[in-house]
Amino acid sequence: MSRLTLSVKNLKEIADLLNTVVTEAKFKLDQTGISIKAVDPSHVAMISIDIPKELFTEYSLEKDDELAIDVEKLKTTLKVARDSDEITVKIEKDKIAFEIGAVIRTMNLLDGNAVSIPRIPKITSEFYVVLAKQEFDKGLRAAEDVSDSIKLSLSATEFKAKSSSETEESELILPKDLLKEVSCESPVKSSYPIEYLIKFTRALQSCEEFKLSFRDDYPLTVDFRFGKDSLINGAFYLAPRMEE
Amino acid sequence: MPLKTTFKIPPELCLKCRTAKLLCGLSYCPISISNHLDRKANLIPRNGISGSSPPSVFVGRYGYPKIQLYPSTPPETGDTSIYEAPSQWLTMDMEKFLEMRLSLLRGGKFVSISDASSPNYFLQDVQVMTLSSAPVEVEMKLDRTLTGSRYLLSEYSPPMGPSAPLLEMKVGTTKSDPVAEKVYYDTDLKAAEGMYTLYKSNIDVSRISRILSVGSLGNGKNRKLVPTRWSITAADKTVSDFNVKMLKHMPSVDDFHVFVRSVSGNLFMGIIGPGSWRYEWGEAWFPGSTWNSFGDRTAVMIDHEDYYGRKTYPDIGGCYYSSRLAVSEYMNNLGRSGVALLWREIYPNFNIPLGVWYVRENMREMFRSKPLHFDTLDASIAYLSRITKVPIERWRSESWVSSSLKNPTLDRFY
Repeated sequence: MSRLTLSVKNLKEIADLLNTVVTEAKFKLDQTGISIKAVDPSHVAMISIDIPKELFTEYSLEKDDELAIDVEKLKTTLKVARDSDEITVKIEKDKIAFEIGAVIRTMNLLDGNAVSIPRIPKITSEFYVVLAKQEFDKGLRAAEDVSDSIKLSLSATEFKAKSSSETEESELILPKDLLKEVSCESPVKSSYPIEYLIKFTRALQSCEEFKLSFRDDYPLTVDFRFGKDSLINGAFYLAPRMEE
Repeated sequence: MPLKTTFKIPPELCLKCRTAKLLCGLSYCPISISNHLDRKANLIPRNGISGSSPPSVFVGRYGYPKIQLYPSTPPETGDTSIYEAPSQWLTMDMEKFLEMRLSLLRGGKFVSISDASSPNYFLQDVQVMTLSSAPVEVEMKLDRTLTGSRYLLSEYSPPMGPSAPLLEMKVGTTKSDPVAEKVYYDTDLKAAEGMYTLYKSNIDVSRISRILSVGSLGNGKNRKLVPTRWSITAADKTVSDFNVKMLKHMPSVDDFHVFVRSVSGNLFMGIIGPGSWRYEWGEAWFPGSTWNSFGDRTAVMIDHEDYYGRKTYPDIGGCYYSSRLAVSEYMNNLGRSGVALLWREIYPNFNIPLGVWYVRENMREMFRSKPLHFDTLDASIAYLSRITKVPIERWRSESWVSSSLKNPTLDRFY
């Protein structure tokens, strides 16, 4: 039997993040920690999360394992727990048990063959910006009712996020001094579906800054970190929207 | 009992045509139908109807939640099941069909929608009659003659005949249907699950919607009568929701399947292509067709849903769900998912509302035909451009699925 103990707040956030793209996901466990990769059914968005074993207060693994988990059920299970609680996860054969204080909630693991681990596409860009998540959130919220896509543009001096429809427009402009870091030799721009970005940023609650990398009409990569000592790290990938 | 047309037909035209050529441009001959119906009407005794109900019932919506419930029957006995079998109507001549459906005579009685939670004898009789899998003898005593009452033509429900207030009804023996009865007597089963249980046992959605309309489904305390117009779409939507949920787990089709079905006054088209489930239903109404009687240009309208479905009711109406049911059946039979672009052109001579069954059955029939296969959406659309009367660019610019296919997925970046 394997036993893992971690903070409820962290596990909740992980479940919320996965749930922005899937309802079922495969957790890969080895001696270094847990890694999860999931792609949404329309293959527009993908997420990968690495949780090193240092994040856990207890990490005793019987063997390397792959667990297919119903993410929505996991979320409901966690509803009874307070963010400040710790949760112990016990894995035995095809069952998984969650101990939250005096409550023990057991569920069957899903059939491992029915849930696949996606490959991560080869997406690289030397154009990136590191910014406060809070600032980006404001731009997304302002754009939400305007259009279903948002156009990101980056130059050496500023970052912009703009949405427009026939009658409305919304634009977030962040000059260089409001950005944490910029790497951009020549200006780049690309559009993305806004709904996915909003779902993702809403789920990523305890992260303060993240890195956006993209180039012209190319997938967006959002690198993020959160949890105790920012130990949990991950990336969110989003396919571009082609301009009309 | 005159059958009204929305415009005056010059008598010279009728004299030249005498039902033979439909010179008036209608898809049926009003004179011939009126004659048939009048003959039938003369056979009906004053104040009473008796016959074999297929079984058939209509639930009105005016006055909701106090509405009228109309059990109905044609004035003939024997196997009348074809009166309520949409799958057999497609091959029928339009006049024959109208003549048949318009002779379904109705006796109406006021009921409250919530009566279904504890039905009185009358409502119970109607519910049990509706469950029957074979025609049921019915005798209805009416308050007045049917003469002068209106026919029922609607874009949702199939046409039905005239009605009069119902005083008393006697119902003969019914043929029991074990699945339908089980669902009826199971007062813990949710209405949606009840509908899908019936569908899985090969009961057609038109019958399911009738069973739903008389308040025979759902949690006992919450059972309600549902106006026919709403129950038809509720059944199409609920059953296709289950089907769509299943097909989302299936692999996508590999290439584009293109279907075309041309029937009197209508062109139906379908493109099924690779990708995750996305669906759209489009209609182009030519000036002079039912819902574009006064316009001078073709009206094109498309409603769609992405993988996660819709949150609002489609403006385009009930046909959205009846054709969604047809395509979900096609994909499930194939064991494949995909994107679906379904379009329909309605020409000027199609000017009578028949009900959404017309779309459902035509789409089902279309999907039974052999598709043409193409490698790309462009090639599929190019093929259709030779058949459509609406300029293909008009279709393409309105098509949501077509523009969504232009957006790349992450798969392109491996």
